[in-house]
Amino acid sequence: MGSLFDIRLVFEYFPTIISRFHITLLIVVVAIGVGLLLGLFIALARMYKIPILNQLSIVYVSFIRGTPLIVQLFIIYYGFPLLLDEIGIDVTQWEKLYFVLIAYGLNNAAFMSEIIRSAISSVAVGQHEAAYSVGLSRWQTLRRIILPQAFLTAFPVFGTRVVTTFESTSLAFTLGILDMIGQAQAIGSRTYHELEGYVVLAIIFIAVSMILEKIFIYAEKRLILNRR
Amino acid sequence: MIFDFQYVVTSFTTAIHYIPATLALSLIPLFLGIIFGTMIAVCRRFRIKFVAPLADIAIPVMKGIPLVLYLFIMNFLIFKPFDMLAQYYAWADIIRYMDKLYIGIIAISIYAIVIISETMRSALMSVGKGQYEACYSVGLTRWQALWRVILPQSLPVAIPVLGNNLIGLIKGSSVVYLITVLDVMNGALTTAQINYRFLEAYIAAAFIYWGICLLTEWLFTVWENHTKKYQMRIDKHNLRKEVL
Repeated sequence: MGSLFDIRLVFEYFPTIISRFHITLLIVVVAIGVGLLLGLFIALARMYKIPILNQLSIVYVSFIRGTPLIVQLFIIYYGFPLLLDEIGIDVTQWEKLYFVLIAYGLNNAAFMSEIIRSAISSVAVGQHEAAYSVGLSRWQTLRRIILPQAFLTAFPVFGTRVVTTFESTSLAFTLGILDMIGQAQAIGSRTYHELEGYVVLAIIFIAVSMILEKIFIYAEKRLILNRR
Repeated sequence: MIFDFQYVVTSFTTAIHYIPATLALSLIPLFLGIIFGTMIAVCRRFRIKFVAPLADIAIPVMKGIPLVLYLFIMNFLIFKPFDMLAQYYAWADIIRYMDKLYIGIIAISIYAIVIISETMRSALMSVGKGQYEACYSVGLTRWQALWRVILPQSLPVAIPVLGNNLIGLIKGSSVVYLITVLDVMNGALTTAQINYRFLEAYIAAAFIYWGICLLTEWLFTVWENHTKKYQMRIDKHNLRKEVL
């Protein structure tokens, strides 16, 4: 074993590691997409107090918020095949990536539902009443009056959530996904130069999360300007 | 393999013994984070020379690094040099039984300081500028103003966020199993390594984490209400109500 840190290797590993960036991006995009759809569903179930769904979503959100993401990843990875096997779907041929996508989507749904719920409840009650008074249905009220207003309050929190999701993708490699961290680990175990790989990862993570933050701050400013 | 609840119980009873390790991995970082994070936040608020500009650059940069990476880097930096020495002097046994818990605590503490300094900064920001001016006008020094007026007011704002931070640390501390620290997660898995019941082990771990997090949430709500007491008293006997 030679020196602990060699700066030349950082440049050497950089292209290899960033070539797996699309996996990370895929996880983030799917997680946010699934999270938004399912999250809206959960938030509505809780808002309108739909009998069984309301209690189920309370427990679900509490469970997701109270357990580590790694545990959820592994529960989905080991538990989902058993569950689907009962219905008669064989998932033994599935790639691991699908389980990761499902786990991140379900995880994000809980957090998104909280964001959406607090945003919707921040819209004044008078808005609901006014919409009903002019004869809009419940769905029309939601789509035309409430959600556009809630969107503006939810947007900054949503931005933070995207950045957090991006950072949490760093756990996907525990299932054996060859994303950026998996690649760095593979290089590390092959060459015994782990630190250089970690430095590359740190640079990529810092850069991307800062860029994302800047984009969201810019978008927020534009949104507020458009409102006025 | 069919799901068997019996194995969940087995894993649960084993993992429960490792709760102190998980608490050490989250409470010590929280404590260090509150101390150093507040110091950094105060330095940034008062624009202390050299420290504030440095923190302005370092904190956003360090916030971008995920906890796993801190853990791996710390593990490498602390463990590898020691490992090389050990190979040289043939201390193989010492390495094998060395407790990596401290590496986990150090890595999570760095992460916690970064996160909590941001929490404290936004809490300090929530106190209006007029409060500082009022303090200075009655002749309080900067330190007195901070200690007697600003911090007590920013505490109720900070506590719910600190509670969320602690829950994040408890959940985040589960990654230390990657460097073979025995915490709740790894404790639950020790039984799975014998009987191959991994799903049951993870579910047992999930229940323990869930319990700890619910308890933490409840404790922080109680604490928050306690610090808000004087605010509520003002609300109750609101002067404005009597005037109007």
